[in-house]
Amino acid sequence: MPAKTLETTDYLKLFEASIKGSKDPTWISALRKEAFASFRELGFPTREHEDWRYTNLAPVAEADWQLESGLCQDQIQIQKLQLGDPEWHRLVFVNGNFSPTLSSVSKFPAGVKAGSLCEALKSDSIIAEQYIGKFADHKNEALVALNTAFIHDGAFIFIPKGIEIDKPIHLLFVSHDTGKELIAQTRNLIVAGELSKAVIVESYISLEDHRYFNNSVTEVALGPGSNVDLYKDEKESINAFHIDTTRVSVDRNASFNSTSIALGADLSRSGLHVALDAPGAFCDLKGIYFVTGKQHVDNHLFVDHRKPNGTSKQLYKGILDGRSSGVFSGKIFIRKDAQKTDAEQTNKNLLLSEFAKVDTKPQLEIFADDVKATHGAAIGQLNEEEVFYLKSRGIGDQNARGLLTFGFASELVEKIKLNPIRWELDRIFWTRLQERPR
Amino acid sequence: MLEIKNLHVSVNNVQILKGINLKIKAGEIHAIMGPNGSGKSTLAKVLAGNPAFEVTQGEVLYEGKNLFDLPPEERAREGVFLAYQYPVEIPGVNNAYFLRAALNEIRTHKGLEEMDAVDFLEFLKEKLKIVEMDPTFINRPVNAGFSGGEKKRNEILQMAVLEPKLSILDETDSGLDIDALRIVADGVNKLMKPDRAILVVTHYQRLLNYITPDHVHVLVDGRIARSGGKDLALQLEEKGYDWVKEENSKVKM
Repeated sequence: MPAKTLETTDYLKLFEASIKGSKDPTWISALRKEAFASFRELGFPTREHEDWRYTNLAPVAEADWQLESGLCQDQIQIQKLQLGDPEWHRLVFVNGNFSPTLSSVSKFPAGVKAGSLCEALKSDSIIAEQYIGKFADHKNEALVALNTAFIHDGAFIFIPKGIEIDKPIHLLFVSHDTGKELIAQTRNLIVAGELSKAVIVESYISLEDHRYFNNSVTEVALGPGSNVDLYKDEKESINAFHIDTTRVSVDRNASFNSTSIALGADLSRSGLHVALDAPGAFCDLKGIYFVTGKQHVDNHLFVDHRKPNGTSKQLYKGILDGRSSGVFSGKIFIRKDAQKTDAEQTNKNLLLSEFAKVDTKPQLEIFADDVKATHGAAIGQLNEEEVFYLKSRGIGDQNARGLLTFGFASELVEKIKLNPIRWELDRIFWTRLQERPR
Repeated sequence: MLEIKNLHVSVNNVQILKGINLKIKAGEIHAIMGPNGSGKSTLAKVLAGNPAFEVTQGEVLYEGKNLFDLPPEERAREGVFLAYQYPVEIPGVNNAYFLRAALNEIRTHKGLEEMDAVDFLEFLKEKLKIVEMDPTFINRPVNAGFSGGEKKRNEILQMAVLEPKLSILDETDSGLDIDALRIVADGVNKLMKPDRAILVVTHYQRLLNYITPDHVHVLVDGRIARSGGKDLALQLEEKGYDWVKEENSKVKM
């Protein structure tokens, strides 16, 4: 049994305070208690856990976090943040709590639910009970257990059969400095009914540079023939810890497209687990991470091919500068029944400085015999021949390296379909590249 | 414009150029010819500032300035341009974007305002005509997936956009068929002006049928063995490089 990390935060005290007098349905209280017991048993993962070998959670475990269950009363200027498109449906959460005043949702077709989970646990408890806790593993994963134990608020999105949501639904998770070092644990649920279609954007941003811990869990269930595009845009405070766990189930002939952007936080860990649960299921997972200074970014992907004729693609590209470090772990699991699987995975990393480092671990476990599976990983630096070519045309050293770095990322950036996200990413890239020391 | 004085260059501790002397004035076209291994490409690359080459002796003055004092990007901004023998592919960087970035650095250096994307596009479309390239090249990544001929034309397109004073063409004709050769040569000729100069490095006489040199120099074993006018190129075509080597050894004796 791996050694446990010393925890400073009195999670028991926080848990008891939050569950006391809770008006949640019984099933939620039961789930929460079960999850808390698991968390106590498991403790924070240490480096001895295979999945956390390269990511040190000690700073997170050793900090003394506080909880804020009430809505922040400070005035927050959302428009100033210029995120996404004001036309999109928008659900805003401040320090983990839904803010009705900052949110704006235009009329949805009948049967569609998009709003606060806290509310949904009261109004749509039956639907919630069907799905919450069914995909994310609170029995074996400590951070999921921790999140589940403290389930309180987050996004609840339910799309009935055949409905196509006209505009993206933007979930803005805003962190705001209220003077306390907070832990915020949003729990999101996205249910896409048969043949439905939706685009959802999860943005994690911070108004200040303070220290906080975001531990979020998103469960996504795609019904047969449905189509969900999920974007994760992480731009947390440079002093924050960000851990997100996304668990997806893809039904027959459904398509799940994910785009992950990781730019912020002191430590950022994204776990994306997709189960292709029925024949013809499809998933395309794209990711880009760009870190510098002493940032650490970790992407753990797991695609579980459970049935035949499934297709999965993984393309993650990383740019690491300064003394930053990165981790990529991409596991493809092809079960005995999953004949005619087509799986591919690519992870490419560009190290811009001599002190940046990255660990990349592709893993393939194949138990079926009629499959196509390819994977590739690369770590490299800028090609000096290319740098010289640009210089010989008058382009200065910094601009030349910036252009080439941009060129490296462009294979992925070009594929981002939502214009505001792509433009914003372009802008941040250029600013970061200009800010590099000469 | 360019004065090369007793230039000695080595690469990986092997001496390639063993004392080159050459003067190029504005308005002149010079050709450097020579057998393989004579150092023709080395000369072109060291003028552009390729860090693999070490200058062991001698100097080069460009417009009165010590060329080797300037880093490669400064030389480019001062109007030195090398058309590569093997142009580098840069997937992921858009041709137009790259050209505008280069042009704007040169313009800034000259104290001119930068050109915005819209104006540049119009400007670029005109330049494309000089090398008979169609507008689809604008958005393609630099040289990636280009045929040999397209890469060489892209080099001349860059020449047209950046308008250098001294253009060095490093075996620009290698790998080109007659039609591509004609287009490239036409482009170069159109870009020639009285205040500019061109140094053509070539193995074969063929290109010189299209780009008429004022002076031809033959490089043998790291030295200029012989200089002359256009007829020298024709003589070489007829008699081969061995003829020059023999003539030279006769003189030494």
